Amino acid sequence: MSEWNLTTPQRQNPVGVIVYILRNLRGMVALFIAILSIGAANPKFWFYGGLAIVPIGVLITLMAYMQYRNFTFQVTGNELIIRKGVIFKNRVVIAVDRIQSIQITDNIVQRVLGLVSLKVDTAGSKGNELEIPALERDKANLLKDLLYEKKEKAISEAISETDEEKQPIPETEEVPPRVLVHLGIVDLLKVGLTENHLKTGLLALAFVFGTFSQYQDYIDRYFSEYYDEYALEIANASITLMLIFLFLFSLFSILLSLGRTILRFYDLKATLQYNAVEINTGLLKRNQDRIPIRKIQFIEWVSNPLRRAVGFESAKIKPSNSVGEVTNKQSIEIPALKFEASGLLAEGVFPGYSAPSFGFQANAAAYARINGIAAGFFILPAIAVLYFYFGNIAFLLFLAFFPIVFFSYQSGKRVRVLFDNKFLVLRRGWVFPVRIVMPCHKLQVISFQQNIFLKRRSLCHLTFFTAAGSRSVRYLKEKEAFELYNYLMYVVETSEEPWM
Amino acid sequence: MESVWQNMEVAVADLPKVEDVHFQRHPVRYQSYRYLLTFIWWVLPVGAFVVFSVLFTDWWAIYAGILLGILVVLSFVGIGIGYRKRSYALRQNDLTYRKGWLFYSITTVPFNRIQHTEVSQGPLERKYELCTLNLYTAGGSTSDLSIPGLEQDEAQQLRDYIAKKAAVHV
Repeated sequence: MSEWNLTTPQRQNPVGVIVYILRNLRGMVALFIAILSIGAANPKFWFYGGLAIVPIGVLITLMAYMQYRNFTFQVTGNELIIRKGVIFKNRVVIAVDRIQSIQITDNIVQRVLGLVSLKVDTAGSKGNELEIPALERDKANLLKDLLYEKKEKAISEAISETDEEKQPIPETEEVPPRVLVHLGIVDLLKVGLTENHLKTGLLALAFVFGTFSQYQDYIDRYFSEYYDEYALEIANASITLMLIFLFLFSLFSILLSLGRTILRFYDLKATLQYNAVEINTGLLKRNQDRIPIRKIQFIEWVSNPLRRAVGFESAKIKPSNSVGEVTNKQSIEIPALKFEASGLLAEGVFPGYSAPSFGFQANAAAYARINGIAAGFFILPAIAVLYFYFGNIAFLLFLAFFPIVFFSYQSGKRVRVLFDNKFLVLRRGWVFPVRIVMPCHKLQVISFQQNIFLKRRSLCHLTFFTAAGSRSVRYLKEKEAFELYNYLMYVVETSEEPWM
Repeated sequence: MESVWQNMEVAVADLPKVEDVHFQRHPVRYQSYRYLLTFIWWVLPVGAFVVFSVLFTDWWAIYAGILLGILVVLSFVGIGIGYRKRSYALRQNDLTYRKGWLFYSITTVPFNRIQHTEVSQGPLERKYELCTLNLYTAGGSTSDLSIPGLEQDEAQQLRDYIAKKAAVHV
């Protein structure tokens, strides 16, 4: 079929040395900055530094070459074997049936060099250590297909070995892939403009301040004399500055979400195949994600008023993951689903899905109460402090309780858990509605929680754990919670369906 | 396919109730183990506080001392009360553990969702001849259950029973 025989140890593409050189350089950026800021004041630094660049460069190149040279991979039997390492030699063996998903990605450097990176995600591995960073695209696709093929075979063999009485898995006829969404430019802009700008802005701010404080020592050395002047001006023009800042912050946030959206979701295409959801997205770094349907533990739909107004909602698909709580990387987001595409996704991923109609509602007053109390911890001390400065007018702050309690009550009123013998649906949120669909048999553990205050009111929380993280429903009635608890345990324990 | 699939009627009220199961308590010496553990835990913070307040005697040290004292006493009292709550129940298809006094919780792990099981014993546990039973599920540590303070035989038996039950499903 091709000139590559993947069953023997294979090296990556030799051009990959450049990828390694750049990775090594990137790893040393912080060190360079540190050295630069310490030594820059010394005139001799530039001379010796210049001299040092040559051996350092040689060393990095040599290191990269050795990394390339010592990196081999092969598929033997039902295992993918990767050997790597220069100083610490490493041999990683991955059984194909443990592979959760395979991703092929490329960043801008890789794209220029015509290479891609192949990442293997397994249950129980930490992060993305299993990465082959410099492959030709054809070879990567070949390897991906080979691994998936072996994996399917290994799994079907294991099934036929364990119980032969069971009928063989019916041959699923090739359903043509259905396109869930293919984002055009206009839709992309709609998505970008309806992002949660406040969140983007605050995240960016946190990042800027985080990075700033990291380098503050260096910056202080050079700019400390200007600080005092600026501080004075800031004090003088604080209100004007505040308004300008707010305006700039909003503008910046919107532009940032727009930019981020375009980078992440440019030409997003999500298709539903008969055994996987496949998503292609990205402008500079094109990501291809493929999640086998049986790995999907639950889907979480989120929305906001703006996005709903343009007829979209987002879906986060949560596959069984490797380490700890689900990080964002391990959940795949489709940011713009038309409502009918949402239905298509639910039915495609969870065959036979129809929304359950029976369920329980949370106690809305409890939400209002707890948020009111929590707000009290901030508002009452704030009133005390403000009273000291401004007198009686400080008591106006009491008014802040009303919207907080109102919003909490409204969103609490919408918290409900619906279920039947196949599906569990959790709903919450008023302005930002969230809907979670979870097949009952994917549940791993259920937990009931009640503190002494809740006990008095016969209320409790329930937490549902899956292999892709957990979700909770708070302030349910104790009696109903136990009913649900016992029922779901019954469904899980009598289920024969595979859950991972 | 339809002929194979059955859908029996389920009387929800007649399902086994987790809240009515007979729960098994830990051996009494688990309490002493917890007292010792809590004592060791407090040695450093209380010691640090004492040194601090001797060096910089100030009015706030009294209030902080009272607060710390309340916390220490509460944590010891909590062990006694919590001991009566802390218990497990084994059923045919799952294991349930409940604990907590201020924050009460009941957690159930069905055997057909367990990836692997393990019995562990720390140095302090060895002194008290107690074991911890760990049940691991898929997808990281959040849904793992560990039951401390079991008799060594008991833990081993539980582990073997659960491992056998879990293996049937994998």
